[in-house]
Amino acid sequence: MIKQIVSLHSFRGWLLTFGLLFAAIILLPVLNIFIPEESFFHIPDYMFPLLGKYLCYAMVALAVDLIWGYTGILSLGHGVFFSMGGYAMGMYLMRSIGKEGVYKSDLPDFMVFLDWKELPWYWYGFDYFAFALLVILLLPGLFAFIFGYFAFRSRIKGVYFAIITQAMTYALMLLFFRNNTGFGGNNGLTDFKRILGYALQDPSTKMGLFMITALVLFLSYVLARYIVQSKLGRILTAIRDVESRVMFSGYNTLHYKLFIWTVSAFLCGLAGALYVPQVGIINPSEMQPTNSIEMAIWVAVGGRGTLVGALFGAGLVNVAKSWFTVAAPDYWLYFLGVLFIVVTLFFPKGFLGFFKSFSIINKVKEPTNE
Amino acid sequence: MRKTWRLPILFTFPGGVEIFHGVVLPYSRIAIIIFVVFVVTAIWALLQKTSLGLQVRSVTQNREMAACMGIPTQKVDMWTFGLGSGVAGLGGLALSQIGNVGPELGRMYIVDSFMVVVLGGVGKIVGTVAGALGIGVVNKFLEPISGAVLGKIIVLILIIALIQKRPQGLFALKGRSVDN
Repeated sequence: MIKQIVSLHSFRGWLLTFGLLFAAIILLPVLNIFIPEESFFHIPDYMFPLLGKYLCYAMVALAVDLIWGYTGILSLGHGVFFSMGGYAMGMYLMRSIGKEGVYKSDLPDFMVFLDWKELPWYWYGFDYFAFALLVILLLPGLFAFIFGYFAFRSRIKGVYFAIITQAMTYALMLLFFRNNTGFGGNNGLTDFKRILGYALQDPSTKMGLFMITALVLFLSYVLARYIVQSKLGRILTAIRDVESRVMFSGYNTLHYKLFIWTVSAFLCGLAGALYVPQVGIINPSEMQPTNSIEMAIWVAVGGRGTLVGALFGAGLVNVAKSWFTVAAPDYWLYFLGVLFIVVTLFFPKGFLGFFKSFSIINKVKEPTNE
Repeated sequence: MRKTWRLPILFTFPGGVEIFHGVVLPYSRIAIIIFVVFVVTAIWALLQKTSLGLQVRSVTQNREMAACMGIPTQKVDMWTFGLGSGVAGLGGLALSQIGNVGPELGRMYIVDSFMVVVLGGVGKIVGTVAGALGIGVVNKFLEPISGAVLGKIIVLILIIALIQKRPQGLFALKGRSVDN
């Protein structure tokens, strides 16, 4: 097992991976604490939630790359899994506000506002972090498993699958927008105060969350890398290339597709749960169909079927987004549009595919089709 | 969440026909129905009776083979995409008669229109018509019973259930290839 994991990367690859992990969880905090604020190398406090947000997006991109880049199943429903994790975490954070809300009530503010007298049954248990964690770890995967079972069993694929996942996203968004559903309606869940007793406004809490996110991202990357390089990963790639041939060779593709679909949803839910305390809000707009499409765009920009490309793409698009909104507030959407058009026209395999085409020792066959 | 107020539009058809007591079918909607029938017929004719239509259908069914037979597939793609976009524009033109016009006019229809095509079957006009009528009518019947949002959710669940039975839609495009 350990031997297998070590052999996932070359020595240089591992060096780079651990270098980045080291930079995230040791170097950045050190730069924040020990370097004086006037210095160029000082990392300001506000950077941590921002970077943490990018890392969460990178995790989502990783999940999308597993299902789309490696297995060839385009999902437009990952916003749902992301929101599920996010809402579960949000519900815990909401309960841990206690009586410090605007209305000084034990119930969350929006319930007081709606004149609800007691907590709906599905909010029970969210007073405890352990329960919320369990929901975060299980619910997105379970939901994906059930949905995927019905979808893959009847051999829905290609554009049909993309569309029913989009319909699912849309339906759940409409459901969560309703006040009666009991998740805060339009405004969602916000105004969080603390997590596990630590104040969320505290710079040290923000830094801690960032470090946890970096660690979880690292672990998910190793997990994803392990999956795609295993024998199972080979079959996933084969399903992407010619599914019928895999079926005729005696494999039941349903199991493989269902497995990777569930893993992907699980990672996505985890990312959502880490995202919410750092951003401080979760609302139904995370489930907008456009958000799920954007997740696919990150992967496409970075390069499908490479994992590293997905991470890079999510980072690039989101950093570009943050930078454009500051540098050119009136035109940032145009810049983003131009970025997407340039990538589609000139780098059809994403940035990573573009760089790879220069490399001479490029023995791995590039993903083709579509 | 969704408000439907009307803006004054230049080319409106005021008034309507009273079908029976209390039910008025506005002229603007009648005009839309006639317009839509005309557009759908025109597209059907274009796809079935012209050489462009023949090329489009051949590229849909088997791109490589079509290319081998000398059909410029990329040019066909271009024309088809242009045609599709133009038809969407005509849809927007019809919509301007019944709703307010804004940059987000089409957004509400993205998911619905995809659902219609998937339900009816990709590559079939008859499927599209049946899917659109089916979804629209069922939605309208559900709305007074369950409310607009829940009605929409029920319709989406019904579609997902229906796709279970017929993964290729109600009217599947018949072909001989294994992978569609």
